[in-house]
Amino acid sequence: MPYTPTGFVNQEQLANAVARAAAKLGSDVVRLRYNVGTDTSGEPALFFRIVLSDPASKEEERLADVTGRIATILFDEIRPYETWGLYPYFSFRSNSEQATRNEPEWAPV
Amino acid sequence: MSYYDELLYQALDLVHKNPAAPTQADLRRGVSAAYYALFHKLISETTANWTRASSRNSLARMFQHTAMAKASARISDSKLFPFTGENPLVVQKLKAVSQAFVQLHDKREIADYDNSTLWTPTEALAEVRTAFKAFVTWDTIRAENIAQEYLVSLLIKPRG
Repeated sequence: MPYTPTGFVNQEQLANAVARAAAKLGSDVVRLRYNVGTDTSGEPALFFRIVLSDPASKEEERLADVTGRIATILFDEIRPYETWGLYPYFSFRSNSEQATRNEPEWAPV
Repeated sequence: MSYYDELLYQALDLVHKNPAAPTQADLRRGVSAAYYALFHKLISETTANWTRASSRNSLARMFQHTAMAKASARISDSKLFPFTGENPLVVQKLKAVSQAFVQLHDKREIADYDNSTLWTPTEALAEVRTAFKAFVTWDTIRAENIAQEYLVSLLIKPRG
């Protein structure tokens, strides 16, 4: 995953906005991580990595609802595109998948 | 069944193909197919407005992936698109579809080309379900003026 200099973003303001939004996500979310970078078109982007509880990710219909709800909350609460020019992208995996992979970018800080 | 519907169901088949031991090839091709399903659906919706049916396939070849993604991203900027006086529910649905396109466009690039990214079944399935949801949502707003204007913006770059 590419990382780019983030001097144009106030990291503290962004962290506060993410924390406020994360507080509204509910128990389906085990952990939220993010970083600023560039997307595949080279545009500034905000990448969210969201670890879901296993019940939230087990049933397919529920997964669709949960991921849609989480993306909407993060998009609407943080407004990263309008505030910082960062387009948000969302990746979801289950808690048990992360336990197997144990990738640091998805792990607790 | 239309080509874009076939792609959508192919995407779902691929991510479910081998639940005990899913392959990266199936998961990545599933994500890619989900993107192409939405790509072709939106193009088909646009070209359907072209009266001369025999020219629609030629017109469809004019669409460019990155230009469509950038046009879709702009819809989320309320300074550029305040949608004043529009039905908030329709606006919300249009933004959901355009955001799904941007997300799937980026994920397709990663799925097709980035060998350093290992997909999990949940990650891939979430993208496929995003495409499904965009299909359903689009069908509820396709007749709205702002939805049709969005389609035009996918092909034609605004002046200035």
